[in-house]
Amino acid sequence: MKRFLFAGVCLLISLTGCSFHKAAEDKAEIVVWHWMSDRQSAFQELAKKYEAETGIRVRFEVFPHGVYSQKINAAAAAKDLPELFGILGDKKLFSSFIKAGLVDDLTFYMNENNHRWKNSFIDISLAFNTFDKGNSYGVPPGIYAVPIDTMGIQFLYNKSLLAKIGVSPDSPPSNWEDFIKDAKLAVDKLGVSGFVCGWGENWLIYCLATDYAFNIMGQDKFFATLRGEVPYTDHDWIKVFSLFEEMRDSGILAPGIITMNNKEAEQIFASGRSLFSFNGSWGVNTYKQMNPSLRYSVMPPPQAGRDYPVKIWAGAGSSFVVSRLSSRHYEAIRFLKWLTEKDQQVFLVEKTRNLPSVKGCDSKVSVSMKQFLKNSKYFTHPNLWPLNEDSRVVEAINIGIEKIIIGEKTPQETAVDVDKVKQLRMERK
Amino acid sequence: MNYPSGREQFKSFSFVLPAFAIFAFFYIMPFFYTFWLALHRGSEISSLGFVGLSNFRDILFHDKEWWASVGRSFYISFWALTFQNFLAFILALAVDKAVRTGKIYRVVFFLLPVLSEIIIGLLVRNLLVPYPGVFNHFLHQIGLSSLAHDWLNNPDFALRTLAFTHCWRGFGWGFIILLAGLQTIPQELYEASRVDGANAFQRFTKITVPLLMPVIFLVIILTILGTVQVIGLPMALTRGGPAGKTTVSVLKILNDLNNSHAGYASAEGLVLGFILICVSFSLLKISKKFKP
Repeated sequence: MKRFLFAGVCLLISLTGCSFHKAAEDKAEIVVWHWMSDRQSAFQELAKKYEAETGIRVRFEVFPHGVYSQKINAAAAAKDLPELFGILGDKKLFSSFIKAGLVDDLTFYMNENNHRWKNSFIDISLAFNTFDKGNSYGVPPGIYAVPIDTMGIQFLYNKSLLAKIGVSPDSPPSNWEDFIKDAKLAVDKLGVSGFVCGWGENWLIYCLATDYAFNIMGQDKFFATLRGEVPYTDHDWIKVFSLFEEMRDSGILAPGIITMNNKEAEQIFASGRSLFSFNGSWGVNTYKQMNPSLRYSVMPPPQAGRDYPVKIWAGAGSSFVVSRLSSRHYEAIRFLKWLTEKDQQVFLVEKTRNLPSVKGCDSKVSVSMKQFLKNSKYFTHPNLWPLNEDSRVVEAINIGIEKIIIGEKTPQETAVDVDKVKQLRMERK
Repeated sequence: MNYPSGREQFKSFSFVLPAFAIFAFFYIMPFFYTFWLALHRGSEISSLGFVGLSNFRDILFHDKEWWASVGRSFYISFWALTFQNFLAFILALAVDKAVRTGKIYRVVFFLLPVLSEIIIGLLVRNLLVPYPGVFNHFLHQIGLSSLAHDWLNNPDFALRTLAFTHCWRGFGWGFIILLAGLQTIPQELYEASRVDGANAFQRFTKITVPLLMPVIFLVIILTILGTVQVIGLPMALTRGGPAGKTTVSVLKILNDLNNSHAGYASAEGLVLGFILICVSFSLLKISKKFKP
């Protein structure tokens, strides 16, 4: 019996020993979970600097992009979140974390010292993480996350290729007809693709489709569709879907675009095998690494409709939230304040070539990166919309557009399919 | 009959307890949690809403995409059961006879299953993407230009490419198991049959196949279970595209999870599990009829 007791005590010590050890370790450090593997080394360097300055250890833990959301969801369910973490998903998911009481409201800290911290951010990046009064998510108004960089998704064009087809590199196409014409010329004259994009990552299809939905039907009608007041079979939506059919029929799409991931698309554009691309500011890093001599520029998506402006997805690239469950959230907030100071932001810009989230770093931002923040009055993003489309409808739009591209469905048929899904979701609600 | 005393019973159970605790924590609890989740709508944070069995109703009677994805999984299983296992069987028979070089072949054929699905997927993708189009270029070079296609983006070929890649990667498993089965057949039986005048075909049909039947059924069950649960390969090869043509059932579950439909995804997982259990038990029942 004594032996059993001894074995039991040993087992107990070994099990609890782990948690004692963890608690002792936790006291001295802030843990940050994220998915940005390309920025891990820069984060680690900053962590070392912070430890040297304050004595507080910061441990950045990176997880693969594909499993990050599951990791965070599981940790949230188990109430085992680190002090700081990023939320990879739409605003609905973000709001569910807030409503579950897992995320700290940072408004008070933002407004301290006459709004000093709040005023340091580029407006669009902070708007991303702000819930206004009466928001459709049912979240109390406030600022719930701290942006660490900014992004914009626009059209890019290869200046050298554009010159070769006889178009001035300083005046890229501003309307849809010219865009198709120039892209076609590139295919016919130069034997390169007219347009490339990582449409294997479906969200880029939705991004482009919504840019043009704003352009063709205007903001009010677009949001009315999301509310279920305008059907997807409306002629304006068919016009949006028809743009993809036109791209297919004109033969400008890069071969294999439909299963291409964004990195592959970036490589094709960087190697000068496509005249146009639709990509985010994060691509600058790939272009620089792959082909430092690539001459390219950024332009807003060419206008397809005449009555409304084309919108551009932009906003906070990545943000960190502070766990309300952590006993060290004040330390975590202090670290975030430090991370978003100009020196650290400049360091991140130089190391990762992402746009900063705070003002005053312009001198360190390259010309090509700055261009992504042009046309800021047309910036938009699902996180800034008053409501978001149901994810099943978004999926139906993406799959429908893919079907148009592979020639399986017409824009009209896709519109009917999407509308059926929308009706079903409305009934369920 | 002497029953053990309470103290001895406690002692006996205490030996089982750690294993039971691990089993309960990692298998039983997640199963019940999955079932509980399947009765809800939304994700697992704050937006869970109880919907009873409506997720199951939607899956069983309304969700055509789900059944299409299950169909794709079984389409790949069909190719794995026929082409992949036939290849594995032929190679196992050949290697069983090759006494001197057998070990080398075992290593060579087992190399592919050891590599991760993602690595195989990326490797094959790099060979098949339209640019630079290594595989199609090779076909042109050997005068088979008519066979060159867009293997990953053409909806007529994408699923077949996925199925073929899966078979190519997976035949090593079947090969090793069948080879092990072949080597358990006593050589005396073959020698006796030779003395009795049986030819090679008769030895194969009357000795090898009947004695190997339990192993063949094991391979069939493992093939179906392994193939229906394939996910890494379609993710790396086509990401479920073009237009969802290679979205197999487990990939659909993952997509639903990522779209904050954890409840629905759990219900899909349970339905898929139920299908696999039914298939496995049916095969086990059939296999009993073939017992030598």
